[in-house]
Amino acid sequence: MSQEVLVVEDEPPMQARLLRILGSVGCAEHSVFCAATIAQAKTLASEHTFAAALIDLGLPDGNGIDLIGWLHSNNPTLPILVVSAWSIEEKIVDALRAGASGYLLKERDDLEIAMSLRTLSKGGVPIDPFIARQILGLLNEATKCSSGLLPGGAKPATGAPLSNREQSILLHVAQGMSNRKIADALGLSRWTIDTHIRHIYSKLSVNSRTQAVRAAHLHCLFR
Amino acid sequence: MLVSLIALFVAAIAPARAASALPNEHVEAARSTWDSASPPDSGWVDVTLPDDWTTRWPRFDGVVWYRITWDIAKPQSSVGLFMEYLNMAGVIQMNDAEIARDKSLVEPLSRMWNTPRYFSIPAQLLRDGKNVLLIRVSGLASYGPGLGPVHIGAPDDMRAAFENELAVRRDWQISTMAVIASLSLFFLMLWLIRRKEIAYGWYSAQQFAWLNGNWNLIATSTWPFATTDMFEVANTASFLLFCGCYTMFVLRVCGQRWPRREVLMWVLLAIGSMALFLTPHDLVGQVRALFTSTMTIYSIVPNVMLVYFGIRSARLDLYVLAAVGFINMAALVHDTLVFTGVLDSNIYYSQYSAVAVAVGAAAVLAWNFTRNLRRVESFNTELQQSVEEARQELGTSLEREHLLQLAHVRLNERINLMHELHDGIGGMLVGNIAALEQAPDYVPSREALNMLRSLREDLRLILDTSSARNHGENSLTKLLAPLQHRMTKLFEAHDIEADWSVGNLDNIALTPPQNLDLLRILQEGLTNILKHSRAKHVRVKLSSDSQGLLMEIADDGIGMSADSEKEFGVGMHSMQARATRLGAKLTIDSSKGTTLVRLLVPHAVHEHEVFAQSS
Repeated sequence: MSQEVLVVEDEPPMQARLLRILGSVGCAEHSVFCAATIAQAKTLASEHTFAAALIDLGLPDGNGIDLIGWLHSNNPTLPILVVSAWSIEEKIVDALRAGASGYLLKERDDLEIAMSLRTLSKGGVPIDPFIARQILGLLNEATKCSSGLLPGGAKPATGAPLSNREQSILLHVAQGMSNRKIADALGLSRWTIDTHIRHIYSKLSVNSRTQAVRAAHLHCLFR
Repeated sequence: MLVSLIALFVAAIAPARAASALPNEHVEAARSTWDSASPPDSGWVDVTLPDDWTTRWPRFDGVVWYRITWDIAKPQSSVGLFMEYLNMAGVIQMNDAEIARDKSLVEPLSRMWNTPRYFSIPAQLLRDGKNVLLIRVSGLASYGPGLGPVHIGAPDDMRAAFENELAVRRDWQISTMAVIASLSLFFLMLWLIRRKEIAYGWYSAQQFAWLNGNWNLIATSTWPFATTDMFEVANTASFLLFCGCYTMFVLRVCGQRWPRREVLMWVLLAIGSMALFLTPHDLVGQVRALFTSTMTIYSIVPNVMLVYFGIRSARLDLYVLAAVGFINMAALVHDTLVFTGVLDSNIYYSQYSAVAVAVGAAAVLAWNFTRNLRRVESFNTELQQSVEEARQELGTSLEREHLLQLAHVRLNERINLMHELHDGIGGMLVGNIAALEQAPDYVPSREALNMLRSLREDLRLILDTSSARNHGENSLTKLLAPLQHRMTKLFEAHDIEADWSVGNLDNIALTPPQNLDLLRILQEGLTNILKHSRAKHVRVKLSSDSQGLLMEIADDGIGMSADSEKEFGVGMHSMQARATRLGAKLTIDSSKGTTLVRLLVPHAVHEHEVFAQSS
C-alpha cells in the first residue's frame, strides 16, 4: 500500500496500534493520516484523495456512521472500513448501510487485523457469522413485507433484495464456514465469493437512487 | 282507530228518520201459503212498519203479503223507494210490475234480513191517484219475520238514507271483519311458529269464532247449511265458542291457569252446542234467545277477569287490556239491560266494543311481541359488549403475561450472563491477580499478555453466545458458528488445515451455561493447538448418540512438549475443571504424532429420546 490512508480514531493507543498494523502490511507511516475527530477527518478528506479510510464509530464530536455517510456521498468508490470494538452487530450493519465496504474488529489480535487488511487490500471482503445472520434477518423481514404488505400487491421495483447465490453464501457464513471453505463447498473461487459479499454490502448501502428506494423499502419493513 | 270507531258509532245511531208522511198512506198485511203467486183476496189487516208478524200470528212460518197504498197527483218525476229490510226473502212489485225478486223464496230461504234496498221508480210506472206497492215476504216465526220500515220520497233523499243504512249494516261489518280476519290470521301464524305463545292462539281462535258469528250479518244464503234453522243454530254455537275462547284468552294473557274450571266451562259449552243442534224446529227461537241472553251475560265474566287481573298485574299492557275489558263489560251490561227491556233502546253496543277489544288486544299482543324482540336485540347488544369486554380483558391479561414472560426471560438472561461472567472472566481475573501477587516483581509481558488475552477470549465467547441467544438461537450448532468461523480463519492464517464436522446435535439439550462451558473447552483446546502444537491438520468433530455428546479435537502436532508444558498445564487444568462441572469425561491421548482430546458429555440427550431408545 503506497497510497494515502485516512485513520479516524480518537484513542491514541488504538491509533498507534492501527498505525503499527498498517505498517506491518506495508503501509508507510507518512502515507497514513490520522484524525481524532470528525471535523479533522473532513478537513483531511478535503485536502487529500485517500485510497482507503478506517473509521472508528465512537468519536468525540459525533457518530462515525455519519462520517461514513458523508465520505461515501463525496466519493462512492472510496473503500471505507469500520473499526469497531466487540462486534456491535447493529452498528456494523448500519455502517455498511451508510456506505462502508468492510469492517475491522478491534478486539481481535493484531495478526487477525493484519490478515483482514491484507485481504481487503487484495479486494477481499470481511464477513462474520453474526453479520451474515443480521443481513439474513433483514432479508427475511423484507420478503415477508414484499409478499404481503406492499400496497396493491406490487412487486418491489428491485425484486428480491438478494439473489439465491448470495443467500446461500450468507447461510454458509452463518454456519461458521470460512470463505475458503464456502468456495470449496459451492465450487466457486474465493474471489467470486468476495464479489458476491461486496454485492450484498452494496445492496445494503444508500449510494444511489435505486438503492435508496430499496433501502427505504427495507427500512420501512424492518421497523 | 278509536276515533273512527266512535264516528261510525255516532253515524249508526244518528239516522233518526222521520217517517215521511205520504198522502193517503195505508199499510196492510195478509197471510198466504209458501207457493202463493199473488196476494190473497181476503184476510188483510192494517199494520204499522216495522212489523214482526209473530206479534199477530205467533208460530206462523210461511208467506205474508204487505200492501202499501198512497196517492200521487199527476206523477211527473220518478220517486225513490228505500226499504230498510225484509225478513227473510221476498218479492217486490210496484203497481203490478215486479221490481225485485230474491233468489230463494222457500227453504233454504235467501237471507235478506240485513240487506237494505233502494229503487228509483220511474214516472211511467206511477199512476195518477192510487199507487200500490206489494211486498211478498217469506219468513220463519223463530227469526222475527216481517217487514222493516219502508220510505218513499225524493230519489236523492232516499238514496242518501239507503247508502247510510248500507254503510252501517253491511260495509262496516265487512270492513271490521276483514280487519279482524287479518289480525286473527297474523296471530294464528305467530302461534303456529311459536306454540309457547298460547295467548296468541286463543286470541286467533276467539276472533275466528267471532267472524263465524258475524257471518250472519253479511251472508245472503244459508250456505254452507241446508236449512235456516241449521244456519241460525250454528251461528249461536259460534257465539258459545267465542265466549269460551275469549275466556281462555283472558286467562292466558293474564298468566292464569284454572284447569278444572276451564274443563268444566268447555264441557258446558259442548253440551250447550249439542243441545242447540238437537233443538226441534218449534223451539229453536226460544232456545236461541235463551242461549244468546245467557251467553251475553256470561261474556261479562271474562271482561271482569280482565279488569281484575289487569289492575292487579301492575303491567302497563294488562292495564290497557283492563281498560278495553272495562269498555266491553260496560257495553255488555248495557246490551243486557236493553235485551231484558230494562233500558228503552234498540241499539246494541257490544258489536262495536267487540271490535275495540279485538284491536286493543291485538295491539297489546303486538306490543308484547315487539318488546320481546327488543329484549332479544338488547340482549344481543349486551352480549356483544360483554364479548368485547372479555376480549379486551383477555388481551390485557395476555399482554401482561407476555410482559411477565419477557421480564422472566430477561431476568434469566441476566442471570445467565452473570454466571457466565462469574465462571469465566471472574474466575480468571481472580486467578490472574493471585498469580501476579505471588509472582516476583517482574512479570514477563508475554505472560501478562497471555493472561489478558485469555480474558478477552472468554469475553468474546460470552458476547458471541449471548448475541446468538438474542436472535433466539440456543442450539449448540448455532452457538458454534462464530467460534468455528474465527478459529478456521486463524488456522488458515497459520497454514493449518482445519476440518470441521458437526453432526446433528438437535437432540442435545444443554443449558446456556453448559453450552458456554463446552465452547470454552473447545476454544481452549484449539488455542492450545494454535499456540503450541505446530500441527498441519486439525480435525474437530461433534456428534451425538445415545451415550450423549461426543466432542473430539485431533491434531497432528508435536503433542505436549517440555517448553509448552507449563502453559499447557494451566490450559489443561481449566479444561478439566469445566469438564467436571459439565459432568463430562475429558481424556487426552497423545501418541504416534496425533493428539486426541475427547470429551464425552453424558445425559445430555433429551429425556424422551432416552426413553424411546431404552424401551
